Amino acid sequence: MKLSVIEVHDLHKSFNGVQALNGFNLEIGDGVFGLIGPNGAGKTTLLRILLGLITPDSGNARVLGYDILDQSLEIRQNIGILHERTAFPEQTTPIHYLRNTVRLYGSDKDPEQLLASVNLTKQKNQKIEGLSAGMKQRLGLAQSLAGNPRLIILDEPTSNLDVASRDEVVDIIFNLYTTEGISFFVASHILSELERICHDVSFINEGVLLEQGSVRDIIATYTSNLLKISTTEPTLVSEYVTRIPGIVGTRTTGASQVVVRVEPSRKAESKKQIQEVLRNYNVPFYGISEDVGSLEDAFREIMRVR
Amino acid sequence: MRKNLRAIIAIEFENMAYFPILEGIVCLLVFFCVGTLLGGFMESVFIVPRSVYNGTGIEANILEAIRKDNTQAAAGPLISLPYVLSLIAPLLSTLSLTRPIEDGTLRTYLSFPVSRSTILFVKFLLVNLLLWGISMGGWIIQIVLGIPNFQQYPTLLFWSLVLLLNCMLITSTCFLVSMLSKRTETSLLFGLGMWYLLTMMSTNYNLSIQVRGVFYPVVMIWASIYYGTSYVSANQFILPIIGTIVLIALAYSACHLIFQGMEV
Repeated sequence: MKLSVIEVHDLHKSFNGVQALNGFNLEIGDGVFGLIGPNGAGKTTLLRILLGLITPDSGNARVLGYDILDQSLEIRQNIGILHERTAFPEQTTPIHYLRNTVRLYGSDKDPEQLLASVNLTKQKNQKIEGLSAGMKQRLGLAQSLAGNPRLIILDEPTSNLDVASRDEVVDIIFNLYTTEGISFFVASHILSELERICHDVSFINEGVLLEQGSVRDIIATYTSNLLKISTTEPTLVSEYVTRIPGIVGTRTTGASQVVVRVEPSRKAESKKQIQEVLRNYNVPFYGISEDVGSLEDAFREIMRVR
Repeated sequence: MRKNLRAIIAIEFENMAYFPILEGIVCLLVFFCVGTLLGGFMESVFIVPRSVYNGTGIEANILEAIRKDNTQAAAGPLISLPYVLSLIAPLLSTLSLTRPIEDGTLRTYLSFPVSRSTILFVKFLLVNLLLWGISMGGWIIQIVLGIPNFQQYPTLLFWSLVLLLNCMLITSTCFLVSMLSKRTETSLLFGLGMWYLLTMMSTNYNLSIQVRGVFYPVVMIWASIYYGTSYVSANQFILPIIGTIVLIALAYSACHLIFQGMEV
């Protein structure tokens, strides 16, 4: 049986009458787990409750088997954390900061190696205030490794980063999982990255769990009824396609693609009908794809259904 | 736990070392010392050559008097350091507590395996040690330079305790204000207001020395220095000291309670 890394039962939390978590439940095991939700969905509130930074109104949770209310110190001893926009003492240097952090955890990690693991060796003696956003994020990752964490919690680890820095952070996360077996709990709204690194994901909105499962299962479940039409005239395509029986809905994504939702039992038939209609009316299109969708498509579907 | 404590002290100390206010304190000290030394040594008189008074050369008497005056003038302002530092205490407390809340570093620290009690204690300890250390430094210089009366009191440790209590009282109340407001501007404003109130009370001679001593323990020392022990006898110190300790304990306990439940 898989050991639960995080268990959350019926968690409620409100701020000035606004319900941030409304009976949230979750159970996850080892691996890289993604928590997906729009801004204000309750992701950060959940993470802060798990860390003991805020207290829930009701409900309970356990992290690595430790109770969040009674054993917060044990939880923090066994996990690493990277907050969204982590604040560092700006006047100190990365190496100095990590030395103190390692001492705080009472661990035997070598700060030099920690910096090397996130490619910050060259910057070790620079002041933190002079580091770029990506470097600071990598320093945050090194800080989260300062103890001997069994789990690392990351809150929006790649927001505010350019594409190259995002790739670097994602690669580091995945390497740490494969080489050191550290589990990750990643809260983010950048779905393409979560799709790359996560085994399982859950969707949260308005403080409630909407869906949970493996990335592939969720994508298959929520995107199997979708067809994607490549065209230069998305408005025209939408207009004609919606007239076809069996078409549930359409959505224009960008300047050259229309996503069509069909009844799953009539997918092949619908595809044929669409091709015929568009040809008959001389609407330009380049192809209709039945490829498996992305986590982003699944997210849109889940938000629409719920 | 010991490793934790050492590391958190190091982190806090580094943060404090980067406070611009620390540079301000050093500048202030230099200003006091240099200014008063210059002022003292500029004292001069005109002496008729070889004049004699009561069989002794006037020149020797006058020069001796000038030497005494100069040393007193040089050291005099140092005794005012507790006043100056009590003005700085709200700034230090605010920078130690409110700034980390605002810039997010407190959230980072609270995510480490360190109890909130330890973090609060270390912050309180370091702010007090800094204030107390500087004011003690000033006082010791004063004693070395030889202020009359002051040397009559052999128990420097006792005065140190009073000075420490003074720092702790101001710091604990400033911490409380910072904790409640969580905003730099508000806590600074309240802190400075409180400094003004306490200073005003300490110089309000309608109040007894014991009442003034509770809210501003250092006035007992000043009273002893200027008026002698007949004005403030040793057993009269007990009540103000106990009163101050109670106030500190109340303010610190309130800080502790608020900090334990603070959501960051």
